[in-house]
Amino acid sequence: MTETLLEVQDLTIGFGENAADNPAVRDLSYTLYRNETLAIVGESGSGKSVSSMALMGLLPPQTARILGGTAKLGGTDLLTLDDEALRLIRGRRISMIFQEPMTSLNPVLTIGRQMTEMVLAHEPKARDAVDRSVAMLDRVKLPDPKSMMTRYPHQLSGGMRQRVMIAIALINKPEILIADEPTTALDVTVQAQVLDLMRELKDQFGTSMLLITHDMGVVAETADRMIVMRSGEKVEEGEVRPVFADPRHAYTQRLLAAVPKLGNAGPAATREAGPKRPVPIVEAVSLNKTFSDKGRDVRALDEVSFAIAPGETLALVGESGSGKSTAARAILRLIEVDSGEILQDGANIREYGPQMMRRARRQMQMIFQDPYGALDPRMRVDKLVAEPMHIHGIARGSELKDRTEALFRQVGLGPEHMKRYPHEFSGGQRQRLCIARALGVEPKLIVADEPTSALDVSIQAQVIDLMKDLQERLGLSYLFISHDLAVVEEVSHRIAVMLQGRIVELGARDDVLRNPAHDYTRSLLEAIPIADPTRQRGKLVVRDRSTFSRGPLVAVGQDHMAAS
Amino acid sequence: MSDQTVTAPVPAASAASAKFRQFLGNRGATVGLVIVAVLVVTAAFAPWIAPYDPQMMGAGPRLTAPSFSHLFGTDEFGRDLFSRVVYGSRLTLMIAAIAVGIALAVGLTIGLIGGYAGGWIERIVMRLVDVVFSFTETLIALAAVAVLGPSLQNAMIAVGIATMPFYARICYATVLVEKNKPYFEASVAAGAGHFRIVLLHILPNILPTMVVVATLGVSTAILAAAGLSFLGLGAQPPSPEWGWMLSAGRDYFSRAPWMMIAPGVAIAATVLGFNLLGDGIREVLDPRQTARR
Amino acid sequence: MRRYLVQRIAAALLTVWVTTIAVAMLIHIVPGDPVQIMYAQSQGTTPEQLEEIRTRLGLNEPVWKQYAMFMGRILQGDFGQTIRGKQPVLDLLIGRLPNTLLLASVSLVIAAVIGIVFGFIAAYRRGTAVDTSLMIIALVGVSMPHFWLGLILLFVFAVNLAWLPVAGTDWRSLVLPAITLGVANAGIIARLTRSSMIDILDQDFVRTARAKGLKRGTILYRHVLLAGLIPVVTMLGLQFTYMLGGAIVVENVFAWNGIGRLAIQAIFQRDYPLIQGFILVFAVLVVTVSLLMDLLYAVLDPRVRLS
Repeated sequence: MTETLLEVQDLTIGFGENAADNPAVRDLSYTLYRNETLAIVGESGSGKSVSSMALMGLLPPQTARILGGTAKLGGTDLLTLDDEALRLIRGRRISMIFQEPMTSLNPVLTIGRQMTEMVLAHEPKARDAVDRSVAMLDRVKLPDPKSMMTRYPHQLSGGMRQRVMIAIALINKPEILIADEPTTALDVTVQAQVLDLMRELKDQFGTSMLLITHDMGVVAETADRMIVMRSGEKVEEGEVRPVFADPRHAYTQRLLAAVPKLGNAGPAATREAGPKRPVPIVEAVSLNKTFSDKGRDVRALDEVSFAIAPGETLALVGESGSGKSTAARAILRLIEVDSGEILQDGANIREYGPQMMRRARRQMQMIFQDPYGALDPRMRVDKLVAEPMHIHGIARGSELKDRTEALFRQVGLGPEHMKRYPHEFSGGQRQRLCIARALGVEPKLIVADEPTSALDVSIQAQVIDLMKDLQERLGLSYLFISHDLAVVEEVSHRIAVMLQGRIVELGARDDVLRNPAHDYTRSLLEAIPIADPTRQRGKLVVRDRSTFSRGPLVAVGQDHMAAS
Repeated sequence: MSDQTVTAPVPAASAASAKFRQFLGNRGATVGLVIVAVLVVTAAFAPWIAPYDPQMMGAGPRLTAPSFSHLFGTDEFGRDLFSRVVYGSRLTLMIAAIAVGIALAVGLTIGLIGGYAGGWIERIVMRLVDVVFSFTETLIALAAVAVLGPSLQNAMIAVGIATMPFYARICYATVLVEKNKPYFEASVAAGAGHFRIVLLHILPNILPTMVVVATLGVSTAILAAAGLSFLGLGAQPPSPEWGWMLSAGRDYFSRAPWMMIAPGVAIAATVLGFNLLGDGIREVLDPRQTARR
Repeated sequence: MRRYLVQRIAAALLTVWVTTIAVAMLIHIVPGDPVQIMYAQSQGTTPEQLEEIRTRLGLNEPVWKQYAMFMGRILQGDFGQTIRGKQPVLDLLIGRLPNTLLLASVSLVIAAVIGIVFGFIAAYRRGTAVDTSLMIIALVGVSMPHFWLGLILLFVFAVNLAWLPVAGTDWRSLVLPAITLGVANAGIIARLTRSSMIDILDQDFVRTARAKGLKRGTILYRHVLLAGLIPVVTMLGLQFTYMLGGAIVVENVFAWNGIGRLAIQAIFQRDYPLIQGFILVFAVLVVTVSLLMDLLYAVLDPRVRLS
């Protein structure tokens, strides 16, 4: 554990014309030892990816410039090598896997071709390239590795593609594996499997790993040591356990505090669950929706029913393709369902004409996952925030202006922000603007589709606090769509877990999270990386999603139901 | 990285002027702007710039080579070619304005309707546009002139009709892109009606693209109209239209090659100018393209 | 894959069908009396004779019936006769077609070779002086009117230097028109190739290929060129139809005996049966070419082939 493999010293990298004035990475130094996993942690813009791309010589040559420093692998300084010398190191001594499994493989070449070329690039005469590739595909636990060789990337799921990437990266038994957010784009259960695999193979191959991530849970479960970066500089370094237990730098403390941890949320807010549930704000009854995708029918909603009470947050939880976003849009009739009822004040809004529907929408507003895209880039933000009030004829002229200003204050922005355009705001600010826009018409329900998943953790915490605060003050209800159980625990009163278009478990927050009745809920909970290096997790039980029971819901406790 | 760049908000005005400076920083775009400006000034002040009446026969000896008194030489009737080219700029600009105007107005409307409405309207409208598009401008323009009869006016209409599918397809594709952006869904969710969504949200967002398309479309229109005139299907004698002048010049080209040079250079330079201008505007408006440079 | 093919073939048939409607209606959109326009200038015709022609052509029948008759004739391969010379339209067009196809094909090869090489080099050296120079050349090419370029080439190589004939039917007469049409379209192909290649160069999988330590040539050939050529191939199909359109003009400059030259003569003579026949033949040609290109695309791109 003490043999030095890679030593980076005073690495400084800049972009663009004034690269030297405002470098993206400044005086970064660290050491990577043999057989260890070193995590480089930071939020967007911290320079964590840039620094490792530089080692591989993969920065865009037109814009990026290495302004100083050394990176010694054995006796050679990677930063001074010429192209050909560096090429011989890439893929042979240092390999890399990337965040986007969907685009990191060439769509017009077979998996086999993309495997064997990695071998042949470094051993042009290798006769056994095919055999080694098949063996490697087997080691990353892909089914039927022989036929896998003849398949194309678009025929594989995201998790399978990332396994192929890992197989390619490790086939030449490199000394260092750089993994740049390797599981960020994957669903949580897939992420758990891929991380498991990486840990296992890293030990088998004796490879050191440089893990670049923003996710403290992944760090806690995977890394031995960690570096925390902020705005291009290293602010903290150390073994994972001590850093988590006793972070020295204020930024690390804030970062760790902002991480939503499952099981840390306070008791569910003051709503009492009981047999006498109040009249719901909105109720979905037996919603069905089938999409046809390239000739195949996909059941996005399958007999989905739920109700949301005043002042309550119902969370819809599920992985990609579970139908949770479809359900959210169906409630607002942004998507028309095939059958079922959506009841508001006892009336089925699916039968409403455009006039009535507009009135119904006053009660239900929506905020979106992507605050960058949800605001029309060519409209000034005060007009955007005022727009729903204008549409619904709530206020005009100076009254409209006053109300708009009040909304800006309500979400923590000031009147000085009003005359600007969306691109002048940060992600967190934009989500505040979206919330302000939704609040203008005094809705009873806000449908929030992954409102925080595009934001850095520290910003995410602020937005969640704002949403909770508004709920308390205004008595709002939320339909909160998320894949992140830790966030869900923080905001929700009740939780519905969705799997392949069906709700498989529905109940009060603590019942579902502490006492899950459905196997799928349990496997979701098990798969979450826990931001606590002292907790040891047992071996993960991998189960195919289609093997879970998806029958009708039956009561398993008071107000707690699960699929039979 | 994105968060870092946006935390210091800049006023919108300075963003616009920054874009203009970026535009001027692009040498090609500046050249394009200069060419187009020269063209517009020439057209506006043609009577003061041209030394002779463009139709006046015997302004000089017949078929004389370029000289100080006749900068571009004279043609077979002794008309001053420089004056004819100068006056021809008016026709070229008129052709461009009318043909592009027709194509843009019709194409934008069809593209907006097709893209926004969706469903069977989209399928029928865009299928028809595809049919027309597959024939290429030259054939459609020829067919239109065949029906309407040869004249400059008909050539302009023909070119407008012939290039329309291109505008419609780009407009349609852009509307589809905008429709897939979250802000579109956000405005539906906010309760906005069709007119508000189309006019206040979609239109302002597709306009930059359409400006680029129209600028590049000017080039296509000028080339196509000149082609028709060259074939004798557009401007008729004694019009100083550049394409027609080229056609007239070909009969004399071994004796008086300058008759082909002046109008040919004029067409090529004008088209080049609008192409450079269009490319320049696109680079400023399309951040993806800019980032690639 | 089968679904994709069925869709393409259906679209192609639809295009041809819509064209037959448009062509059949052509004669009715013409301002004035078509029969008068067509025949009055050729022979001294009396009103009775005109009426007789009208009846013979079925112009007194209801529109739908006229269309049915028109389609009936077309499907039997009877495109009518030219007004001047009374030749069968289809025979005349098919006789000239090989000349046009030859011109367009040779031009396409010239344009594709120049365009793809220029575009690929420019993309690979993007931002450098090489890129800028190549793209300036391409832009000038795009901006130059075909017929002007043709005239200049004619002037220099046929008249002044007398290396090549001014007009004719042998291969030496093909050189100048093919170069004209090829060079004029090479600019567009170069621009499109460049942007397609740049798209590919920015893809994540190219970064993966570099991270693998592949040789530069392997990356460029196997990863960039192969993937980047797929959209270029589709584009070449479209370019071929442009070549056919451009051939109409270029044939007139070089007196090359293709269907384009015939079409212009037909327009001047208001020979509507010939114009109708020309448009239909052109439609079938365009549709066939795009269908072939779609097929090729499907074979090249596994995402389509295996769906």
